Amino acid sequence: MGMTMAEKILARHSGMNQIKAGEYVTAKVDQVCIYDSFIDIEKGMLESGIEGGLTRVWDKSRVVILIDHGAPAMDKNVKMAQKHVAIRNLVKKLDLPLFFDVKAGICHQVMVDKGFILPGSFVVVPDSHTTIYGALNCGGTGIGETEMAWVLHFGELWFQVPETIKVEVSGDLKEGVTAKDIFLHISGTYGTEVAQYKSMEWVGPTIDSLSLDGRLCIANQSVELGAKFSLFKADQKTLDFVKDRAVRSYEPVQPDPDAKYEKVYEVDAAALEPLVAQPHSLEVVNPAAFYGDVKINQANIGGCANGRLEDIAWAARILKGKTVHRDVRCIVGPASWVVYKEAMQKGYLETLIDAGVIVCHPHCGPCTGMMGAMAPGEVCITATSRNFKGRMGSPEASIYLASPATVAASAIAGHIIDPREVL
Amino acid sequence: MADRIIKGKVVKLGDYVNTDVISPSRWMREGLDVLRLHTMEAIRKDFYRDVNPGDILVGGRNFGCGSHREPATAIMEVLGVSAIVADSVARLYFRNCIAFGIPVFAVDGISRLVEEGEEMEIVLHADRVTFTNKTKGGELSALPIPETMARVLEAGGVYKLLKQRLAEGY
Repeated sequence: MGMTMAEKILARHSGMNQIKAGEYVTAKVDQVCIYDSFIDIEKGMLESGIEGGLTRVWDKSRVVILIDHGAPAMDKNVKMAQKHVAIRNLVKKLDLPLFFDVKAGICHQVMVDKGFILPGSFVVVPDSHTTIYGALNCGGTGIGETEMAWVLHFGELWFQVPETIKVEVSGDLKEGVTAKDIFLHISGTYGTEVAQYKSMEWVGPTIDSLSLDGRLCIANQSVELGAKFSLFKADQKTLDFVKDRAVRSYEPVQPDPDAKYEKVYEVDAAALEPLVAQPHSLEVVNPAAFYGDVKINQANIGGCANGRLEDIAWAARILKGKTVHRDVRCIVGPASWVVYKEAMQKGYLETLIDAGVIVCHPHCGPCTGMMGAMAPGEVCITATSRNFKGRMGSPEASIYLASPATVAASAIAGHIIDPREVL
Repeated sequence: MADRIIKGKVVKLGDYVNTDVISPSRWMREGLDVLRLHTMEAIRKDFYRDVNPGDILVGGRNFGCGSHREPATAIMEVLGVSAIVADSVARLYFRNCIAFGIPVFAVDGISRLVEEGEEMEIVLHADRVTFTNKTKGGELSALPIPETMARVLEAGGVYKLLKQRLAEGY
């Protein structure tokens, strides 16, 4: 019987020829990455009476450690700084070679930049946005730190084989409409549980024409739809990208023509407008123009959802020769130093700085409120991953979520606008 | 093996309670004792005062959606929550509960079966799990917990299972 991409990846990694949705398997993991919470694993083990805490990992070449959430340490009560010291000591104790400290950027972008994410492979990270790796045809999914303790010892973990839903996207996106709007269309139309426990497969001419940056955004955001995996086929763009950076050999997966899908959704991309999700959920979505009277205090672009070159290019294109509104703080955070440098070389950062943007170093802050915290009553429009109550500081702040184009345009206007008004 | 029974008073929350609400990031790094005072504060002030050890937490749709953050699960252990049952449970929250050894169930309709303050009984039979409103009657049932997850729950969570495994010389 035909298999979906998720079934093929899990079959391959659990040594089976044929598996189907609903079964449980123990799958071998190709690569893991752990950030600031790495030390929680040692702590959890010690508290459970495991002598010596974490003393080994199954394969050092498969364990990437870095610090990205509060990086470099941002607190003067030094709890975070002390945690970072503990992480560095643990890395030394285990003699782990793939440690990037606070120096590389956001985990998911670093994993992509450095060639750890490969078509057909299987990667787990203690982070919900691990679904992002599906953009490169890699089965990526989040787990918790506790489960990661198991993976670090045995290099494997149990998984239920998910059902798959297919999303077929066709039609040309209008000018000013981007990958983020495709995601917002799905969350607004079908809700944030449409893919609960499921794998998503994104196909169709519009998906083929998207850049890898656009696909990475959609795959990243798919966890907000409940997805376990969010997979794209490996095409020439994918293969060209991984060719010179792959850390090991790989073999892409393709869905079989007779693969079984729980449901198929069709999206007419040509009908989409620039969209905005309103506070505090990603389910209530309307065209940007609908929110025209919403004044904003802050406009963020960055994180693992939208801190890539294409996102920064959009911000630069819209803000070129313009000025961020006097009542607005606009924060742009490239997702990694690789992205930062590319954006610098292309002149985007200079354009943004001239417009009055705060360009920050690569870390998770623009998405988590760790930098640019919102006070009660303030309003943020953000091209990051979530608009949940309290995510960026005060629970009395409001967060709207949109594409980098919509956010950049709104930063100029001082209120939410359709980016096409300034293109 | 005898059927396992979990009985407790219901503490009830609504739909889409995400992990930013359960574990607000501005308190998360201060440790669980501090987090305890702030859990759910964005939707329900002083939530910790309403929860007693042994209570069963009942949620609506997509309970625990959002970030994978483990403090959002660990805090339930601190509060003494004996089980979590919701109309649906987000994937990562579900996994984390199992990993912590906290019984967790996605049972469509549970939010209509029980109200805050009522007594609920959960019985883990070999072939099904039943959820009974002991205050005013009514019952729902669900499939039994799959064997893979049951093993982790019985051990009391992944760390305990890991300890056993390591002691066996793996």
